[in-house]
Amino acid sequence: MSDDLRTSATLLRRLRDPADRDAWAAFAENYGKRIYSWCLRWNLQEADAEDVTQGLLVQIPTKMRSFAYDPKVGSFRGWLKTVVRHALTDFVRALGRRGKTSYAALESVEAETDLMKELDERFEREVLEEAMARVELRVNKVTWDAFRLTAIEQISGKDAAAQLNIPVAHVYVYKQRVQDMLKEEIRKLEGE
Amino acid sequence: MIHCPNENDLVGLLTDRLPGDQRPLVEGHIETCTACQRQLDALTQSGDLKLADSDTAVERGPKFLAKIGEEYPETLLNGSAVATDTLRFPGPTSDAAPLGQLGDFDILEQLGSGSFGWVYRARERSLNRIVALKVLKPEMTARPDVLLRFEREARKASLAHDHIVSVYRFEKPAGFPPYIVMEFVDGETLDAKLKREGQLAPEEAASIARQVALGLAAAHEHGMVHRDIKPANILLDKKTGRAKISDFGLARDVADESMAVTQAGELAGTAPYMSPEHFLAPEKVDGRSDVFSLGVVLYQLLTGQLPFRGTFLQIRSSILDDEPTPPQSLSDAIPVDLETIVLACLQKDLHARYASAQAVAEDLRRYLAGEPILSRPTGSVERAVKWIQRKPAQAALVGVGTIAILMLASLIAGVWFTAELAEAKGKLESANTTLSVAKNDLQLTNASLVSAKTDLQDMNGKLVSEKAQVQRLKFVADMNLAHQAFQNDNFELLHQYLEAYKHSDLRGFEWRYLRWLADVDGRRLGPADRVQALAFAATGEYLALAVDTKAGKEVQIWTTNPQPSSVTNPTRGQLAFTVRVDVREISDLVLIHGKGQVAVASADDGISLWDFRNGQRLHVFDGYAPLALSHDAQQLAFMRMDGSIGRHDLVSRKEIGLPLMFDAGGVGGGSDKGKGKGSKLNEKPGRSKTGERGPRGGKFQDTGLTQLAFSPDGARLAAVGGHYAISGAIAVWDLKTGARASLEDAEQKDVVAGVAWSPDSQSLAAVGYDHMLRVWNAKTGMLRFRHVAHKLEVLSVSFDAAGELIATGGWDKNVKVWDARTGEEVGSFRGCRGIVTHVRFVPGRRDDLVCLDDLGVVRSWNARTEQTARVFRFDAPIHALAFGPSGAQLAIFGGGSGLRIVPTSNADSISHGTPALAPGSRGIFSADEAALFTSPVDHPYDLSTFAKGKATTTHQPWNVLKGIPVRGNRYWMASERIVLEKDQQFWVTPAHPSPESVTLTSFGPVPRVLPDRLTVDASGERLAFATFDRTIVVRRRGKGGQQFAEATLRLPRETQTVNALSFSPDGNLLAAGIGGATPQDYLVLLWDTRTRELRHQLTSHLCYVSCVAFSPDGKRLASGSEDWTVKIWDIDAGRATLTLGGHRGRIRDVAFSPDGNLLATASEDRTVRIWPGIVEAAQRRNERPIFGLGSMNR
Repeated sequence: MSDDLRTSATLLRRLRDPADRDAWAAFAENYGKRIYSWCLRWNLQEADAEDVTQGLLVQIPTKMRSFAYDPKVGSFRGWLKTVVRHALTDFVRALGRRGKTSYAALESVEAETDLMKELDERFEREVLEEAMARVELRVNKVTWDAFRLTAIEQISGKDAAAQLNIPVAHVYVYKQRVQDMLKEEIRKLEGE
Repeated sequence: MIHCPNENDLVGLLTDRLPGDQRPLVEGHIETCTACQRQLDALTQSGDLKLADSDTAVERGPKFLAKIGEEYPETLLNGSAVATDTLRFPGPTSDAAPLGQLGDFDILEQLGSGSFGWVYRARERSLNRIVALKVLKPEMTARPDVLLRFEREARKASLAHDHIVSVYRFEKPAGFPPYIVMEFVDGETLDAKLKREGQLAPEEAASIARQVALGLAAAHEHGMVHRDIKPANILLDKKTGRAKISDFGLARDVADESMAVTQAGELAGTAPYMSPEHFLAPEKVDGRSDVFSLGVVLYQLLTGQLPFRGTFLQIRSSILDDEPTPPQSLSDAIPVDLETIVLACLQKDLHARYASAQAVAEDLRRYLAGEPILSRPTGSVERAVKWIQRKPAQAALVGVGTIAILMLASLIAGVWFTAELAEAKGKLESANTTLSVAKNDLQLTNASLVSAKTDLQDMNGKLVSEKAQVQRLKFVADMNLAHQAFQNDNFELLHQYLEAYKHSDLRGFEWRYLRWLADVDGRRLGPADRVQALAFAATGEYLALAVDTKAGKEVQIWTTNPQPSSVTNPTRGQLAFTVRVDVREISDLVLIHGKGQVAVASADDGISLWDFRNGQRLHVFDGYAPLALSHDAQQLAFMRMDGSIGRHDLVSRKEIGLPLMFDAGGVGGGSDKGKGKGSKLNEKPGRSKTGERGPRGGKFQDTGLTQLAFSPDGARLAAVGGHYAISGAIAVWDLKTGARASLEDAEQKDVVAGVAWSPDSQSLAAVGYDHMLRVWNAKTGMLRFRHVAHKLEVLSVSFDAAGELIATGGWDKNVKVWDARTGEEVGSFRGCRGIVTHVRFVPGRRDDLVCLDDLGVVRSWNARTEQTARVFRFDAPIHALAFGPSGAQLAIFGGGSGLRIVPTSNADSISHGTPALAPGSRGIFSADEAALFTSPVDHPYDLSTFAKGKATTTHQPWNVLKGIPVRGNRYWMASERIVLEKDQQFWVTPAHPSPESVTLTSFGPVPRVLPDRLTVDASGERLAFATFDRTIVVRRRGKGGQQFAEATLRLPRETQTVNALSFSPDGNLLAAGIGGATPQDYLVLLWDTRTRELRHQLTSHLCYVSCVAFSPDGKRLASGSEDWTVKIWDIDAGRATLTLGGHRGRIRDVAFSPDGNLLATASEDRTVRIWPGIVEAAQRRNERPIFGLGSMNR
């Protein structure tokens, strides 16, 4: 049972559980990509970029554990930003102490903002995927397909209607309905 | 509509606010108007949803990321930060102070770091002693909770004990983070030792645990609970060998409530070591929580592994629900006494656990000294008496000593229990005092003697009931263990647990369900001897088995059960004919039932045709397995001596047409490539090796075929297997022209082992060594779908009679059932103990399957019955269920079309007329089951009647007859009663289709009621509902002139909300499914409706409890939760006896059948599951005949 429950919590939440190795692997893959491309954008050599990526990947969950998330204080996302900022600052400073000054640029406000944007996008995607998984379970297939075809696969309402054998107007009604549910679900997930 | 609707109308359409009469017009217009469609495109733009996946645009990450992902960073495991971080001390560095100075301290080296701070070894100059400095991280000083924790650890200074790391003082200098000066222990943590040595010798483990227990006892005495006992917090002194507890950072002062560092609901501690109560009410734990953690540590020291493992949630649920594996079963070297001590520490029930760390230390001392320990695994009379004797109160017992001990001895048996005895002991002591006073008093009167005697009798009664409770708790524990045994495939153990309670009154639904599960293994068909091959007659009524008996080879013809299989009675058969066949080996057979014949293939003796009625051999063909019989039973196909395929007419026994040939390269298996694969094929169980020499001495060309199959329309023949299929192809011959087609999938690299035609001859299903199931369009040769079906090689495949399902089986011992159209998995069966060599649907029968494994056992079951439950699948979530009073049918609400009626006994399901209902409708059957009432949405009162198996809805306004307006009412249904709101009053009437039966009873004014949170008891005497102000109101029908009596039940916690209500059958208990803001709110509350007393808080669900239902005998309660599980509770014990997993979504409703033998559950995963219990013989006699829907009107 717990296994199933686990899938319905976003990756970053799962990451706080030390026993969840799958979460770590997914985190390294998904967020590592973002961090790596960020490093390259800030003019790091490939080898250095790998170092920094690995370091930050370890540092972020570490910080997540030392800063308990308190829903009363603010949103999960806000908290996440704080965590990443601390992780970045600590990590770059530690590198500096080891005599590596070439990374100082990473500490700039611009670099930090840029990294936040990367990770935030990824987090948003994750929340969206989770929300979609939850909503799909709650609506019937035609409703979901109407949404999927028009909103994700970008097929015109008319073509989708022909494919699903329903009136064109219904396609839009269903699309809107699913989108409303998604927004509600995302709101819940982010507020959790 | 010629003009385009305005934007308001379009928005109205999208948000469902358009007036009903306008809707068709607007919809009709949109159908053809591209301008409106464009506008709708704009209106429904996903906007900030960002549905397009930007990640697909980013190229795949560099390889090193995958490597990082595989290795979990060690630093994260123990929660410490990356060690790149360190601290600068104010004083200058020198030889004496390599890291600098801080006040009176020379800092020597860094010992370690954690998420909160660092630890250094330092020299205190003024005292010239080595100390440890624990410095808080600067960023942590901003967090008051951390600071508080840190100071608390410092306050422990008052605790000086051999087994606790001493704290000297706490400093808060200006310009430097606060730090603690503490004893430096030269050695290592227990964690490091454990990591190095794996596990410890029992004596050493016991000695360390005893020292920790002594340290804990001292801390507890000072009102401190540690709350984070784990190996990493236990230090071992290198010189003295002493174990010392460190890190009191989480410790809590029991006396000081305001100092609760962790807020309610926030967990501090390390999951695998946390006690059950620590998860449930972290702010309330006492010393016994540390005893539990110590038990976990000792367990780990002895066995080298943790008793509760997995992800956080898995650990949490194990700690709350699962019994740990006994240490001895992991290592024989662990002494019984130590196991007893560990398990007594790990008791989930606080009262069953050691009452104090002191008691643990004492038992460990006894163990180390070779004395008998005080705790016992399962108590006996002798032990219980000893236990009483050993207690300090023993002196007090002397007065009534013999009587009391004898009385106890006769009463106590069963389990080791503390609280009950302690209470009884208290009573005994007070009685004893009374007695000794009386004894010493020479003026003793008769009257006081009599009263003392009465006291003793009272106690006697109390002890009897306590004994019963202990036995009940043991039963609950055993049922949970039995379920675990099933999940571990340990059927033997499961049977043992079930047998132990075979005649017990404690049994409920869980026992009958587990008993049903236990039968999964026992649903054997056919003989006890080893079966080597099987074949059905075309009608499915007969089954031929090739049996290997001691006396020789036999073919047995079995009848299959002609009754349609049901949830509770799977197919069983009877032996009809036996024929001894004089062959050395049977590798395949076919049953030509209409002629009373069976054909048997043998590697050494050719293919022989037998009359199974008289045992005569009729004919011998030259050839080999595999065999195939055409569906009209006229033709027999098999492999000829030269490796081609021949067909023979079974009447004339002459060969028909030309032999069917493979390509030259494929025959003979001469290529090297062929040999490699061929050797693997020979490993296939249940199939004899084909010899080099033919039956008549000719040279045999083995093509290694595994299966031949005629298409049902007789037009084609398919062949798969061995050398031919190295390319992974299926050969299909057109029997009219002799032309051969080849179905090939470029991805298929390995042998195709099994093939099956769909009943309409349109599709071919094939399975093979590449673990895949493929379905082909047999006409066009196109691949319909393919996917990985099993973890290992797949050997056999079969279509059901309707062409809707496909079954597969193979090396992984599982049989899986697939939707033939979509390829979706619809069920699986784990009952086989050997490799599955044959899977066959029973021809002409819906959903019945048999399989044969390489141990020679034939098993039969229903394909739509998963191993743990029968599953009904729908297109949308299900939200409500209602059994008919006969139990023969189940109404299912939701699932796409509003309502379905499903027969519970018959496998032929979900085929009846279904009136469309508005979303959210619920309903009940009338007492005579002739009508179904559904709650109002579009139609205020739907009354459905059933005729000839079809449900027809009539909106019969019978309520009008009684002056109840048709519209504008609210209705609820429960217990064969309808509750309606009329004139702002509640009215209750029996649910009966005839208008004359309406008898309205008033239950007073209607307050603001939460939707669906309303119920009536079975007698119609009580009404309960939940209101918006978080109370539950129970109203009882008034007697005489009085209208009604009302009681209010309050929820214990402010954060709780009511999700569902249900009365027990006698109306004396009310159950409420509860949800709320915190995990402590996820429970079931059980009130006594007469005393208004809260009888039980049933905890162990991990999320909202969404529905509750009592069993018809009132002894069990079922609860469904948003944690996807259903639990069965023993009401007297207040414990869960069974947890049912399997649903893949929130549970929305649960219902027991009227006989209590079936439990139905509905879920948002779009399925309804029926969990059957075995029907006991005693029950069966009184069973009412089950009518199908067709007989409803008779």
